[in-house]
Amino acid sequence: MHERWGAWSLAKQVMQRVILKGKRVRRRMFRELILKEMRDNVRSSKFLLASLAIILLVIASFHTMRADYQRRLARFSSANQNPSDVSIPPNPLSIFVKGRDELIGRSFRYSPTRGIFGPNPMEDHGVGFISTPDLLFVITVVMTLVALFFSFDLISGEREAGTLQLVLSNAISRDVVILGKTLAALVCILIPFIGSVLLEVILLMGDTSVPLSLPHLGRLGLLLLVSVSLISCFLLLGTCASIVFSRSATSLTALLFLWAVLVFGIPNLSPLVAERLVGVPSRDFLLQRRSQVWVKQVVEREWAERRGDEYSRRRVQEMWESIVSENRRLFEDHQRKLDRLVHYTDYVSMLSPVGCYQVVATSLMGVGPRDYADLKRALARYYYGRAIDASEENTAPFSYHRRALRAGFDEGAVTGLGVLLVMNVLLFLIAYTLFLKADVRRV
Amino acid sequence: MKIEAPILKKELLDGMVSFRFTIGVILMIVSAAICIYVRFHEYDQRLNSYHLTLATQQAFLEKYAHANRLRAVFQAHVPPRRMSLLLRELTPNLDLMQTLEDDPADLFPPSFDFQWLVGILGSLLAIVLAYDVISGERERGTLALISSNSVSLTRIVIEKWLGGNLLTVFPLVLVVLLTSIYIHLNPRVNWVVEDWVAWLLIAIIYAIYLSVFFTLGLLISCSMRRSSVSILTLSLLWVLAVVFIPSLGLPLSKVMKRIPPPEVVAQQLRTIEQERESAVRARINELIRSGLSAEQARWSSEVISKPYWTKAMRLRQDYERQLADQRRLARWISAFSPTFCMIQATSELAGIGASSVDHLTRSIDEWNRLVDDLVQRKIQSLQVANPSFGPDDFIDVSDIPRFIYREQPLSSRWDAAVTYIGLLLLYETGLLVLALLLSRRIDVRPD
Repeated sequence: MHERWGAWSLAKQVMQRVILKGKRVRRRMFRELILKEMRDNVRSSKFLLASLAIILLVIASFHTMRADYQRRLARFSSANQNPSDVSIPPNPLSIFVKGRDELIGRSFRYSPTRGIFGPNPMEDHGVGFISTPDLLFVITVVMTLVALFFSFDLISGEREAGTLQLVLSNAISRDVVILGKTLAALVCILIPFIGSVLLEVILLMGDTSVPLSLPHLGRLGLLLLVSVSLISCFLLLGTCASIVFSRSATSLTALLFLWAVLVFGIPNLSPLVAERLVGVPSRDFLLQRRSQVWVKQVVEREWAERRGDEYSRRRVQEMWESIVSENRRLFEDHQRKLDRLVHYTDYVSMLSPVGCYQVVATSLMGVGPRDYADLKRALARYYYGRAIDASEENTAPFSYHRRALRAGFDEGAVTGLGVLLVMNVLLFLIAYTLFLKADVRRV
Repeated sequence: MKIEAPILKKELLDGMVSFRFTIGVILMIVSAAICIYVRFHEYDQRLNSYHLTLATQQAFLEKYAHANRLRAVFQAHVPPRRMSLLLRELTPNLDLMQTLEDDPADLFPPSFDFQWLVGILGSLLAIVLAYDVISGERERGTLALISSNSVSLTRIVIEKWLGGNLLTVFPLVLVVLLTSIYIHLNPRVNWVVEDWVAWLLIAIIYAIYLSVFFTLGLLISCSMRRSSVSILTLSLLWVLAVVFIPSLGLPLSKVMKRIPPPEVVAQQLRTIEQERESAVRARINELIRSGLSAEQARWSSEVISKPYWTKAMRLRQDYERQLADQRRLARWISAFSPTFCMIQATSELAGIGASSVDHLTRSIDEWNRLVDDLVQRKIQSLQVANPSFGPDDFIDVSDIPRFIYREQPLSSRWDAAVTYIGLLLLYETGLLVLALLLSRRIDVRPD
C-alpha cells in the first residue's frame, strides 16, 4: 500500500514537472512567436507605409477638426442672445468624433408659425462617402484597412513560404499561433496610431481654446479601447480569410471587397432599410401642417369676431395654448418616428462591426442621434411648456445636460459594444476551428 | 485589316477567369439589385408624400385662404426629381433657419446609391484588377519573356491598359443594362428621352472614372517592384482619393474663407423687421389720427414696409453670395479627387446637383413673384367690386397656377457638368502619360 502510494506520488511529481515544463515551453514559444512576428512586421515596407499614412492622416484630421471646432466656438460666442434664446456650445469631443454636433451645438428660438428653429448648419451633404475627416473616419476606414493588410497573409503567407509546417512542428498549439500572430499585428498597428493620437491630445491640452477636461479624456480613453476591439475584429477577419484561401492574393481580394461592404455598404444601407420599416413624414409636409395650425386658429378667431363673438383675454390665451399644444403634438409624433428610425438604423448597421463601432463611438462622445433627440425634447419642454403670457423672466430656465457616461451606454451603445465583443470571440473561434482543419502543407 | 493584339487577348482571358473578377462582378450585380430595390421604395415614398402634401394644401386653401395669411399656406412644393431613384437627391433646404423637423436624410447623410456602387465598389475592383498588372508579371518572370519578343514595353503597357479597362467596365455595362431594363418596365417611372440621354452620359462618366482608377493602378504597378507593396500603396491612395479629399473641402473652405455665421445674419434680419414693425405702427397711428378706420390704416401703411424689405433682401442676398463663394472654394478643394469630380458631374447630369438647386430656387422665386402679382391683382379687383373687402376676407385661389417643377434642360445640366468631366479626362490622360513614361524605365528582370 505504502509502495503504491510512493509510486503514485512520484508519478504525480513527474507529471506536474512535465505539465509545468510544457506550460513554460508554451509560454516561451508564445513570447518568441509574438516577438518574431513583431520583428518581421516592423521590418516590412507595409509597416513603414501604413505608419506613415496613419500618422499623416491623424495629424491632418486633428488640425482640420480643431479649426472646425474653433470656428463653431467663435460662432457660439458671437451669437447675439435674446432672453428666450437657447444656445448650446459645441462639444470639444467633436474634434475626435463629430457626429451630430453641428446640429446640437447651435442656438434655438421659437415662433408660433415655425415652431422651434435654429440656423441651418448648411452642411453640403452628398459630396462624398463620409461627411467629416475626423478620428472616426481614421479608425473606421484607415485602421480597419491597415488591419486587413497586416492579417491577409498571416497563415497563407507562411503556407506559401513553406514555414507553417516548421512553426507547427514545435510544441505550440494552433490557438496560440493564431493568438500570437494576431496580437503581434495588433501591437504593430496600434503603436503609430496610439502614439500619434496621444501626441495630438497632448498638443490639444496645451491649447487653451479647447476646454478638454478629465471626463473628456476618460471618454477618449474608452473610445480608444473600443477602437482596439474594432481593429482586432478586422485582424481576426483577415486571419480567417488567410486560413480559408490557400493564396494570399486571393485572400486579399476577397477581404478588400468584404471591407467595402462592412465599412461603406451596411452602415450606408441601414437608414434606407430602416425607412422602409418606419414611414417618417417629409419635412415639407410637417412645415405645411405647422403653418396650417397657426393660420386655422387665427382665421377662426377672426371669423368669430366678425360674427360678433367677443374674444376675451382668456379665449385668446386658449387659442395660443391650442397652437402650442398642436405644435407639441406634431413635434412629439415626428420625434417618436425619428426615434424608431434611429433605433432600427442602429440595429441594421450592427450587422457590421463598423456599424457597432459607430453607434458606440457617437454615443460615447455625446454626439449621437440620441443626444440630439434628448436636446430636442429639452427644447420642446422649455418652449412648449411655457405659459403664453408669462414674461420671459418668470419662465423656468432651460435645462439640458449632455448624457452622463453611464446613461450614454444605456441604449444602443451597450448592444453595439456587446455585439462587437461577441464578434471578436466568434471570429477567434471560427479562425481556430478553421485552422484545426487546415492543411498546413506548402501549396 | 486584322489587328494583332495578343497581350490584350491574354489579359482579357486571364482576367475573366480570375477569382477577383468573378467576385467583383457578383458583388456589383448583387449590390445593384439591392440598391435599385431600396431606392425605388424611397422614391415611391417621397412621391406619395409629395402628393399628400399637395392634397392637404388644396383642402386647406379651399377653406382658409385669407388674403392676409395666404402665403403662409400657399407654397411651392417640389416633387422628387426623376433620376433621384438611382442617385441620392440633395435636400433642397437652403433656408437660413431650419426647424427641428429634420429630414432623415439630414440625420444620416451618406447613402446607398449608384454613386456608392461605382464610387466605392467599382473603383475598388479597378485597383484590384490593376495592382499587379506589371509588377505581377515581373515577379513571376514572365515580363522578361514577353519583352524578349519584338514587343516594346510601351505596347505591352498600352495593351494591358486596354484589356484591363475592358474588364473593369464590363460589370458596369451589365449593371447599367439591367437597371435600364427595370426602369423601362416599371410603370411608376416615366422617363423621357432627355433622361435616357442623361443616363447614357452618366454611364460614360462612370466608365471614365473606373478607367482613372485602373490607370492609377497601372502606374503604381509600373513603379513598384512588389505587388504586395503596390496594393498597399494603391489602397491608401484609394482612401485619400475616394474618401478623405472629398470630405476635406467643406471644413477647409470654412476655415479659409470665413463668412458671418447665420445667427448673426438672422439677428440683423430680426432688427430690420423690428424697425419695420415700429415704423408701420407709427404710420397706422398717424393715419388713424387723421380719420381713417383701423383696417384702412393698416392697409394703407403697407407702403412703409418696402424699403425695409429691400434692405433685408439685400442682406440675405449678400450672405447667400458669400456662402456660394465658400461652397465654390470647397468644391475646388475637393475636385483634387476624381471621385468628387465623378459625383459632381453625374449629379449635375441627373438634375440633382448644385446647379439644379439654383435652378429650383430661381423657379420657386419666379412662381412666388407670379403668385404675389396675381393675388395682388385679385385683391384689387375684389376691392373694386366690394369696397368693404378687407385683409381678413376669403380669397378664391383655385384659378392661380400651382407650382410645377420643370427640370433643367439637358444642355444646362451638361454645361454644369462639363468642368468636372474635363477634370476627370485630365486625370486619366495625366496618369496614362505618366504610366507610359515609367514603362520605358521598367527593369523587366524578376527579383
